[in-house]
Amino acid sequence: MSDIRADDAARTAPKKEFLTFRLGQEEYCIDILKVQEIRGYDTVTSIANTPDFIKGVINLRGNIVPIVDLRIKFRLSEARYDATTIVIILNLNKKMIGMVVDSVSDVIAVPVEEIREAPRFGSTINTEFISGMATVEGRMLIVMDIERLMSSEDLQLIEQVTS
Amino acid sequence: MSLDLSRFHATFFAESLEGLDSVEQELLRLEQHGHSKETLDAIFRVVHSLKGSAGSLGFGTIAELAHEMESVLDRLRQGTAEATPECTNVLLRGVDCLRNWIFASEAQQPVDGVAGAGIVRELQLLLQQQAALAAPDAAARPAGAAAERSKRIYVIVFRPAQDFFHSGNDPARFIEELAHLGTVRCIVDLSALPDIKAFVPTTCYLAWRITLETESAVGDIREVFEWVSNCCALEIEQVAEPVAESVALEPQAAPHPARRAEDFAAGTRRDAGLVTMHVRTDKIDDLVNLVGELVITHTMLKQSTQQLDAIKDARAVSVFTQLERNVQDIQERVLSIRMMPVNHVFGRFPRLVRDLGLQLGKAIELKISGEQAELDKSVIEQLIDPLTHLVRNALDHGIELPADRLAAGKSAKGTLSLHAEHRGGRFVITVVDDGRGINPELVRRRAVEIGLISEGEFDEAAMYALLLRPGFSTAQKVSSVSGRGVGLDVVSQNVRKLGGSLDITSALGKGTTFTINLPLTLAIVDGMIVGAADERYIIPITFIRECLQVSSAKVQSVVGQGHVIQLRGDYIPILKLTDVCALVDDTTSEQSVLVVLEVENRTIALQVNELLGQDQVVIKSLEANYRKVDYMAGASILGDGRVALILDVTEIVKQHATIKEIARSAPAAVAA
Repeated sequence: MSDIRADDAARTAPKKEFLTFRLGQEEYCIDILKVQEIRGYDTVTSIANTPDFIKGVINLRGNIVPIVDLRIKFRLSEARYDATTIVIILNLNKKMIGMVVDSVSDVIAVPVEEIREAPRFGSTINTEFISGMATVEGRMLIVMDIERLMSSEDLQLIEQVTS
Repeated sequence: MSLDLSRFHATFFAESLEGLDSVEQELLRLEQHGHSKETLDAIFRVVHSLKGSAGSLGFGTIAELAHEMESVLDRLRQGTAEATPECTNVLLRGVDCLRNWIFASEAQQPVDGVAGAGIVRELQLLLQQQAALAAPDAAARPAGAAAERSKRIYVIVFRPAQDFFHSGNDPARFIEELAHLGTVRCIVDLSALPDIKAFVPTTCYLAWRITLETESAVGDIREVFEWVSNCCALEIEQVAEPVAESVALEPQAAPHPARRAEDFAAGTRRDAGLVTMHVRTDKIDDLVNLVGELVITHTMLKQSTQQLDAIKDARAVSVFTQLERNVQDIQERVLSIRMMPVNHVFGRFPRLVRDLGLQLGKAIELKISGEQAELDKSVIEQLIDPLTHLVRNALDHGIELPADRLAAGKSAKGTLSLHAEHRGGRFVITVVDDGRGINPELVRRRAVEIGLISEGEFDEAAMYALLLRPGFSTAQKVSSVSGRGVGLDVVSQNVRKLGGSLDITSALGKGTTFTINLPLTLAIVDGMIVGAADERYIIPITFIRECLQVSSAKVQSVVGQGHVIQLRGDYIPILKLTDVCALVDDTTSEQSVLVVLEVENRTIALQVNELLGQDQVVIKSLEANYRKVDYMAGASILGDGRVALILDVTEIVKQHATIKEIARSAPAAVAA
């Protein structure tokens, strides 16, 4: 937790950095350490007999990486693909997965103590995939348990997490 | 401070196993070609360094056994003992035992000390026998004392010919060499030296009388002078008592034997450092990946700079050409890193053939050629099983017993040849025996018997195909070596898996030839790029029998079975690629192309929209980041940077029936 800005220097509370992104009306965030890179949506090679939210695979510098469209997965906004469509490339358990979201906002540091347990309602996404909520500078963020989501039954993109 | 030695273990295991392989090969060579000091030195060096590293890394048992082997080898090397077959046997078993121990240590399991103790005892017994043989006069002494070497004194008269210097030799060199064997005292004989006026500086006038105190035998001394034996007079005489009246020319002490051995070992290690280096394969794979990317990026760059003007942008164009050449060079070099000489597989056969030959009572000469030809490491590893099978097969079924061979008018000794070569971008391995060949009549009878064919339908081509059928064996009895009929089909499948093919030709009474035809590397496949709907797919060429334009006249519809095409009398079921890949088919069948695929004698025609070309593509795993995809063997990246999936033809053909169902149910699912 090396992010020590001048105004934060005095505070010693441990912090975690999160990447925030938008899905529909809500703002979600994921642990920045799980993010490998962010890139534009490029031509995807589709794969037969897969659910519609698995768009297919792309070539990421020689690696074949699957792409999941979370907008389709959670039946949110209309899934359009243009020059501004964003893909977050995750690196989970050494597996690379790309996920399409509406937009990426920024990277923020959240004091660990600010992260509260999520209430059992209030978001489009099943609470199973939410590890907490946090309010930073007046913004309410939903902390997504990305590993659990990607290992969930209908995605099965990574090995089941045992927690 | 305790040092963590475990990080050296992996290197030790790898080096030791490599070393043991070479020891095995050298021992077998020794057995075939007789005594050779060079070979023995090579073996000794490996065993010695193994002992050293095992000792320093705390593998006491390994070091101990290596030590005993080293003692015996040292004897052989010194020429005081002979490499009898029984001696080679014990040493070979020692090698096996060491290898097992290393495997066990690698798996962090305890080593089987009992087996080792037996071998150590045998080695010690061997040493005693050797000692007794070396000094028959000392037989009266107790056996323990006999093992101690006795020092002997030789008087050597070394008289170089007058033109000794003309051949570029230096007498002092030989005396120095002698000093390696023991303590040297030397007297120069100046009697032939002429008057200063008659003195010709290029003539050798000197002679030496050398007293050598050594443990070595006369043979070793002769060997020192071997090089100049035709241009010097040499007398060697063994005397009982030390000769006192001599002047020390070179008071250079004989090096301690142990230190010499150390020098030896150090020498090999230095050499090994220059020749090879252990690199983890995943590092190389990363490199191969990155270079693949580089090539693609380059292609894309090329496409976007096509409008460069050859005159206006001359500089850019020339730089670009340069870049292209560099990229190609890099790709070639990087791919060659994965290449290994096929000797890594062939090297294990001399031992196998020797042991099996003894077991079966057959005399067999193994001829290996082309073993330096290089092949991708992963292919080589997967070749071990099929090739071992073919070799066993040839020894057991192919080559006859000596008596039968003589009766058939052949030499008693059978010949098995292994040959490897590059042939037009492919790698070809042949296994040839001069045995009894395959009897077509036996094959026919057996095939009819188990109901594979009916009486009457049989020809030569069909016979070879039958041999590759699962469970087919014409062996009269099942032996531990082979004959269970689990065999050629597995070999053929394994080879197929590597993207290769297995061919058999045989002449009754003359022998059989198995030919394995392989791609150079597993990482690259020759593929046909085909289009279906808007997607592109790659079909490995090895499975494609032919491609043809659909002429609707020849396509017939079979109720409930889809379509078939009549091709030279055969009806081949047609499968649409768009159905396999669940794509929307928007073309009429008149526009499309049929790719006839053949897998294990089953044929289907895959209907694709168009053929886009043929290319060598790099195979990438879909499982690395995603998972196994039905009917796909992997993916590859095309010239424009897009991903194309590689069809798993074997699976598609095998699951043909299932696919038809999917095809039927798919429209229903869409409608629902």
